[in-house]
Amino acid sequence: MNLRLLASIGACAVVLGILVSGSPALAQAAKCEPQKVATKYPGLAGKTLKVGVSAADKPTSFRDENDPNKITGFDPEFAKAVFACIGVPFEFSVGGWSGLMPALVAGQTDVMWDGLYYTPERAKSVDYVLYTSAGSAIVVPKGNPKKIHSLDDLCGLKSVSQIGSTEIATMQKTSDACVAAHKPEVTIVASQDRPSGILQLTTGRVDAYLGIAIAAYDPALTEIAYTYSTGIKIGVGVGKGNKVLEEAIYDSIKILQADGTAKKFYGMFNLDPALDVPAQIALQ
Amino acid sequence: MHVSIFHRPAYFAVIATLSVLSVFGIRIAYAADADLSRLEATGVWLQNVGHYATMPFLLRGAYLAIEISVLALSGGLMLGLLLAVMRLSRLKAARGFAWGYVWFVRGTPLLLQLVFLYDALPAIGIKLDSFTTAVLGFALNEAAFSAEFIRGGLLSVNRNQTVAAASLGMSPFLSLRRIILPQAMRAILPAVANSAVSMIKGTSVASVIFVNELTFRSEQIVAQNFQFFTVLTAAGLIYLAMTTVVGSAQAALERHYSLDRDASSQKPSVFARLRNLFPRRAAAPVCTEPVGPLPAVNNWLEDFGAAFPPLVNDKDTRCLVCTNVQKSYGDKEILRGLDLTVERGEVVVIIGPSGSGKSTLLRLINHLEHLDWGEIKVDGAYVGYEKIGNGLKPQRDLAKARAAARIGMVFQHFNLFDHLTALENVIETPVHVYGENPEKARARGMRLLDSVGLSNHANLLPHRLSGGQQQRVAIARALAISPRLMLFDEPTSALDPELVDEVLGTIRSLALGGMTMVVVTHEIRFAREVADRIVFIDEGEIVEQGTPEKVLGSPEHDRTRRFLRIVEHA
Repeated sequence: MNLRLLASIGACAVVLGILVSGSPALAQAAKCEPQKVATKYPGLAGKTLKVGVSAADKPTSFRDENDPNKITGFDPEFAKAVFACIGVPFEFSVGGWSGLMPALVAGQTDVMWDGLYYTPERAKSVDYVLYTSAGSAIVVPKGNPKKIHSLDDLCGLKSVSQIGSTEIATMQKTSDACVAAHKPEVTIVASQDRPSGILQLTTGRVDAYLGIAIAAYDPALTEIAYTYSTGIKIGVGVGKGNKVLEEAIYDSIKILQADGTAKKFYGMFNLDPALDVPAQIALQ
Repeated sequence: MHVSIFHRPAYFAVIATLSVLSVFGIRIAYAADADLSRLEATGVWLQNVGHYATMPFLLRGAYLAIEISVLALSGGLMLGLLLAVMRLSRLKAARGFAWGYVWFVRGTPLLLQLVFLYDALPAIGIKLDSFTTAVLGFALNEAAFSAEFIRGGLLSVNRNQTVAAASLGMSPFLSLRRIILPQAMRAILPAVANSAVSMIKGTSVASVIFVNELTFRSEQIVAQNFQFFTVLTAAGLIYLAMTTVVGSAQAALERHYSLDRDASSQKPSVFARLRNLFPRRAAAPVCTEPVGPLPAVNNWLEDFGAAFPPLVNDKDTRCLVCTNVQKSYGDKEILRGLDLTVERGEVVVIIGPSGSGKSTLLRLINHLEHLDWGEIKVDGAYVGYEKIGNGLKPQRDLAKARAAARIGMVFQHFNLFDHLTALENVIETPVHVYGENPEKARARGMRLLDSVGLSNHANLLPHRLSGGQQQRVAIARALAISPRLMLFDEPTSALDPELVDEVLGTIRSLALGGMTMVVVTHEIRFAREVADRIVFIDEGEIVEQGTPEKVLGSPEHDRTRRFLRIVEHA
């Protein structure tokens, strides 16, 4: 009896040993091991990372409604999970969005994690770990008075989005299509940021706002009329050549996408889980 | 009593702004929530504004804006003063540097400068944190702007103030600190307040370098709840509170530097009240201080005569020796090899047409201007020159040389320090140049003012005195340095006729007291009465000299006769 027990324990141990020693890479990739950061990512041990965010762009990155000292949003929550998974402490560096990339390039921050769209041009200055993509929506005043149900419906109307955004380009393309179809063009207005664009909509200066697809901006005043995918990938910005950090973030995002944590974040901020993009390091 | 139509302007501004904001805000509130009654909507909106205006998260942002502004403004103003002085300097390199700095910093966007400091300097190994970068960036920027308005302030102070300070042996730095800056403050202060206000509001630019001040924090709140108007109104109120403080400080400072501050009906300034909280030991009001027995007018010189022993030796009775003095301004020759000797105790009166070089000679004697050629000795010594080979070379520290020479100078336009009372004018040099004990200097200053008949006016500012009184204060001020030689440059030319006599009387009593004096004047009657010797100068040279009887009574030269005819018929 004792022998049988011993034998079965021995057999289990052997099997376990084979499993552990036979596929170490698989075991490492499969789950977070924050306590092993020193051996897995020696370059990161003992560091406190600085993560650049704007905290001024709901739902991507913003201040918590009840405690403004707390930073939340799709990107910050993702960041918290990723750095917990890596096992490296970090702090948010809160600054204006336009200052985030220069600070990353200069080494004032280690990471920019705030709705950074991928463009080949930007990839010349920073390395990307891509993990999601941009969905856009046409937001209209409550009740949709102009009956907008597609981009084509914008012909002859006035529409706003943030200066330099991909939505502005979309509006331009739509307007060109309107003209080609002998319809009146779209009057395009560029706003400084998202809230001031929304303000243009709620004060009746424009007919539609184009921007990130969240359930509603101010449910009392607005509604989403139409959503579409831009196909533009979004990533974490990392300083050029910071291989260790890129690997660490890439590994962790993969784990979080595999174990369903990522999906939870999409739900938390009313974003479409279909926007998810498998983790990928983009160096150019 | 001083009554202003701008009485308590800050309160009016606050009430007016609040009313305007409320009207707009309430309208928005109606639009936003048509279901609520008007009164309810208004109440809710105001409550929300109040909530955000007192939110610790936003107030911390406001505090950060203040911290950055206070540090950057202090640093910027100091650097700005330095740049302003450099721009007014005689050194071409200093002028050029300051001009270049202002040109570049003022001409490039602040945003760019901040991003450069924060994001470009790391490339050469200098990694500054956000706060340091913001303070540094705003200070460097403020320096460029303040350099210009400080320079404007310095230029607004009459040049004769600088000349008077120099004649009293004040160093350029002392003169800037004690004489020029306090007067320039009246012109500079409004611009400083403007700077402070725009800096407090402008710190929001620094959000690109991760400074989370009030505006950026409000934007973050707006991004979260989209209550654009409510949050920004609250932020506006916080800004208004901060800038109201700046405005009050400006008003208090302006009262402090006002030329009405000596008026007895005026309330004491904030600073005076603060000072009174910490009384200095033995600081009795000057006007009630016992001055002691007053010296008789004719021998009061003895009161300070011991302060000026002769420099070289007692046997040399010559106080002033000018040899072959030459001076030109550009191509125009002013003095062409003039020789003049003045004995100790002698009163020499110089007369001559305008532009004949009389005033220039006086300015050369106490080295307010450099000699072109020749030499001048006072009590056997050069004033601020050293002999090198055959010529003279001006010394570096001219102010010290002038102070050591103790030559008193009285100007045509008095040149009193406008921001100092009569007594302060008199004791300024003894205390700050010669390091005399202030209490002793005050007592002596009062005796001097008494001897020119003005002890009742000791605490008045110059602009409250008549021209004659101002000139008598100026004489007392010159006497306060215990001069071994007094120079008078047309001391009565700027006076109304009825005021001339009181000044001449004072000078006359000085002459009787044995003071060595060189007087330039057009008052022929006075010259005849007071002069030991009359010197007639025309076109940069001495035409003739001698006793008053000889030069004025029977002049040898045509030019002298012609001049006397014109002057006596004027």
